[in-house]
Amino acid sequence: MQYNNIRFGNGIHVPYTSAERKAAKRRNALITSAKYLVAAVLVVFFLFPYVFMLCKSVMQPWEVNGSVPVHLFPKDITFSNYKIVGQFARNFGNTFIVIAINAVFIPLSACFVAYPLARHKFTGKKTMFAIIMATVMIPTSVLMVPQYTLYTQFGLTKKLVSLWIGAFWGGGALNIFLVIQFMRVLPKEMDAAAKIDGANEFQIFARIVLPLCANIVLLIAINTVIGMWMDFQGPLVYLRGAPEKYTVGLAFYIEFNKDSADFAAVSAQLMSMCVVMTLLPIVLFMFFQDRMIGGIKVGGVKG
Amino acid sequence: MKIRKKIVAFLAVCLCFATSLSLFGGCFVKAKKPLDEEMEAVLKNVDFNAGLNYKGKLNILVVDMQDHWDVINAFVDDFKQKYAGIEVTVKGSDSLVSQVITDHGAATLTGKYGDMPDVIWIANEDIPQMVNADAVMPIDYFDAADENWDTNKLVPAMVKDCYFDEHMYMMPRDYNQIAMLYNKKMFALAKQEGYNVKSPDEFKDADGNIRAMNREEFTQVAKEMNKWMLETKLKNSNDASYNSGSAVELKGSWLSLMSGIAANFGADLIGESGTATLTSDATVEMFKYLVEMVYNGVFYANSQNGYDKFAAEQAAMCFESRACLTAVTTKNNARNGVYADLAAAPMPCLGNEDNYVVGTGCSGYAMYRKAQHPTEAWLFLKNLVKEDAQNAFCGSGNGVPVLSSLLNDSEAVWRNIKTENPTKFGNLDENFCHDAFVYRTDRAATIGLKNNVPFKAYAKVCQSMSSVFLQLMDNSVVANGDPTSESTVQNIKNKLRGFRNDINNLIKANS
Amino acid sequence: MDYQYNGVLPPLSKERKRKRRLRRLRDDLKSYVFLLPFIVGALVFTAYPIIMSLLFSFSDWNGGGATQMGIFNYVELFTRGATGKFDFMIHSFGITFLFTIVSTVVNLVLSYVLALFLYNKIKGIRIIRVLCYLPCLIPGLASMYLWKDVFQYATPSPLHPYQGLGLFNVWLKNLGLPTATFFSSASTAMASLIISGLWNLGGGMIMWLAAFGNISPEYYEAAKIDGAGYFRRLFSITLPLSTPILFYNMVVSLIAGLQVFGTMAAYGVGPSDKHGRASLNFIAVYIYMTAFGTDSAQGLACAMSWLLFVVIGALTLIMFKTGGWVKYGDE
Repeated sequence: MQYNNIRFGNGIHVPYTSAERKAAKRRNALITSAKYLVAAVLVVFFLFPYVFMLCKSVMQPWEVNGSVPVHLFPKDITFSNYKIVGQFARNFGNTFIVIAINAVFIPLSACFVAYPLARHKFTGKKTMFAIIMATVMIPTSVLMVPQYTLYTQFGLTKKLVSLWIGAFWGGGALNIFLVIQFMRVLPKEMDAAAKIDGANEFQIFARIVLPLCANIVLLIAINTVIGMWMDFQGPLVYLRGAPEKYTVGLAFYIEFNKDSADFAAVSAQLMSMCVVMTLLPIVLFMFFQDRMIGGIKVGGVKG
Repeated sequence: MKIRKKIVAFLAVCLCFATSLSLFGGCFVKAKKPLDEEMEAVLKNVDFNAGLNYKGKLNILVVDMQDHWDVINAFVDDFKQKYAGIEVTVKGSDSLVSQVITDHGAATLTGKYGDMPDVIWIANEDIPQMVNADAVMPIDYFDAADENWDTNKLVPAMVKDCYFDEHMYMMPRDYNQIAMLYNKKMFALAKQEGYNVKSPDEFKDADGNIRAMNREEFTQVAKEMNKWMLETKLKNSNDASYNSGSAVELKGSWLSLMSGIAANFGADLIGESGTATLTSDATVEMFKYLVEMVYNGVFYANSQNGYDKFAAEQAAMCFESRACLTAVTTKNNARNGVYADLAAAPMPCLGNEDNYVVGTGCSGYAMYRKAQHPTEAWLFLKNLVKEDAQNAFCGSGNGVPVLSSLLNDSEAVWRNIKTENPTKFGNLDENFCHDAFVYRTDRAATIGLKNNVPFKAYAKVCQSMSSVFLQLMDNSVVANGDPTSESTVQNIKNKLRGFRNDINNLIKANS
Repeated sequence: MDYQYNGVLPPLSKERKRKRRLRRLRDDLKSYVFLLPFIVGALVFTAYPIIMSLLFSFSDWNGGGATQMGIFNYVELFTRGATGKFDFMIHSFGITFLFTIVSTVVNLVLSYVLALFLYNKIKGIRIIRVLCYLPCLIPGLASMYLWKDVFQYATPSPLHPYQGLGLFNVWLKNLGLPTATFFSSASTAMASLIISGLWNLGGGMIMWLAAFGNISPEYYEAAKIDGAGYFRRLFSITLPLSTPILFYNMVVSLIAGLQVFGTMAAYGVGPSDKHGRASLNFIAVYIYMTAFGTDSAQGLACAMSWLLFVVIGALTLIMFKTGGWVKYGDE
């Protein structure tokens, strides 16, 4: 029940006078405009990186190489800086392959692994939980050197395989937990019905549960894509030495850290590359905005 | 009950670990064989009588930069003409030394050396690390076993530079003496606008050849040029004004250059006793000079390349070796390069005549320790220093030959790149002073640190020393805006003392 | 599953017990089949490398082979002075933890405040929230180069007062304020990194907004009826009911913060202070440089990473005992 026009006083409902109402309206208007002002400041603050990136990517070389003091808005626009994207065409292709495989198999294997944890009872369930939780706390730096040695022994270094071979093993504890939470609330009656009809576990999983998980699969896929889009640590360790197989993140790093480059002179091209790199997450966000934000709710909220 | 189980489990794990450690320890640790034995085995597989019709393969790895590609292509073309039966593949790398070392480790693990290169480009500063990682072949053994070849035709100082810990690890390909490159147009413009700037080619000796300027002359020229650059309204060909630059550009982290300058001032960074002598009067004197010039904007100390500003026409003079010629004259995304206006003069003598030293170095190619094609690799390395190959290499414009006979030969390709390579250097000035790159070769010296610093510490000491120069030339030592004041000198001395202690500790730790 | 009689089960014969155990085993197996990918992956890609890492740390493994075994790596890590790496290691651990804790706290608090402010009903609030979230979409690697550019600083000489100054420094200078050294000086590099992280508040903000949305409005209604003001409501209702997410966020941020590696791309190891210790030499970067740099001291890198592992393990155990983690293991 809304009690906007009436206030409480000593348990008696007393209506506001018109003068009080006017004062309240004015006060509200003031508060609202103050809120808008602060919001405007916030928006300017948060949009600054985009403004900077876009402006710098269209600046001419003489504006960025130090001959005039650095400034925000370009004095003369040119799009020639975007030519550098063509240099990375092969790298985009490599990244696409890696991301596609990861984005498909990480959520699927996470669902696969999470299924018994969410819906079954079995001996050692608590131990399994503990083990999965324990893997969360292992830092990747611990695994860096011996995994490199392991991959070398299997001949996986300098090949794109090394970047997607990790997608089939459950996709990491955090993803598994996410799926578990999601699966827990799915109805269980269909399981029992299917069992009576003679379906085995795998069919129940594939035909009943998995389709219901479409939302979380999509969410994890999007998160994986955005997370691995410019991932640089993995390729740095495993792909070094095979330039035609570099992913975009690694090629970007190599290109803009080259000794022969004067940082100021290439900063415009660097920014144009950054603009292009940001396009993918933004496009994904525009399409899947609701799901992404909804997914953060699922992941974040504890019952 | 549960706690007991946990303790038992824990102990069992520890026991397993200990046993596996001892087992593994036994089989994955391998002792090193003495070098002579190893080399004997290697040399058995090398055919020293291989002729021009030898059939084989060769893999080469260079740095992925344009000037490196130009040079190696010149060498490879010459090699392929002679040894038509050898198939050569060249690859580029973006971080050569660390990649070779890491890949060497990986290859040793799997035993598959097939993907590793046979010949690697290497600079003399990289040799210690490669030797520590056992990644390069001591080719003095090859030299000894090959009766048809020896090193006496090469400039002796360069050969010595390739020796490390008594073995030769690199075949020198050029003779890189540092000279001063300058932009003729800027000097002409300054004169036109009435400034009293003397161009470096106006300093001639009795025979009419360009000589090295002394400190006063050089400082005067630099200051006047800087004054013009600040006051002129003109813009360079990249449409940037001259006044955002400095008269002189130098690469502060280039030890060959900086130790040469130090020697000019009479400062020998590491003394004969093996300890750093950074606080000597001569060293302080040198840094006073450098700090003042950098603070006043006359010098620009670059930490990466010694020619970036020069090639962008934002510096009138720079100190570089011949190896950067292609980079300076070529156009790229950011600038037009200095081409028709490029001129050279000898390195100025910043100290006494007696102390005059010109920094020199060389780069070259090394053989990978586990090269799968040692015969072809040795043939290639020997070919590098043959006269026609050296001429071919010099045709790319990026080098002065290491073959003594070609250094003073006026018909040699390197002195005639304008006619020999018109596509790349056709617009080069006719009077380009090639002699500047061999000026007073009797005074050329490689980095002196090698003699006084123990082998294990050499790489680290070189790195520290480079950072000493960089840190002292970044204006942070200047107190109260006055680079000649007592407090600035005091700051310089304090910093040098700190560095001296650090470097001494480094030497002690690694001897 | 088992079906029950009306509360009374007949005693099971040995035969039935065995059959039941067999059936349990079969059911368990069915579950474990699903868990197989995880188990295989954990064994091959996690357990085996960890054990190998421990072995390597006791040798001078350089990627190809080892020539001697012993505890010399650990000795070197704990030796002070120029010969040992203790100072560097402690410094590296120190700045990693410092960065993690400070940036986590700053981000959590500030994004909470931001979320509070944006939990409004004014028109267009949805667009404003999205705009605030946008900087999080810039890929991390790209944004670091962006901040490197914006925060540039070089000691100017009197003749070129604007040379080497990035955008912020130019603005500061134009406003008459002193320029800041940001990423060029060891003392300010870390602070600059944390400041550049402020633009990523949007992610946390969305999470808090979701949390607020989950708090049942009845609480607020009841509070309003009782006459509670804004701040009272904040501290008595909103804050306590946000703590579950707080724990989750905190743990995830801490774990992620300890593995910071991307800064190496744009900033390298950062500027060094007067003792030669690099200011952005996070532990993951340090381990990488030791293992894959020109020294190729992989055994030493393994020793360092095991020390990190032990430290993190200890911290996690502490958090286990003191925090409400057990929710995950329910059922």
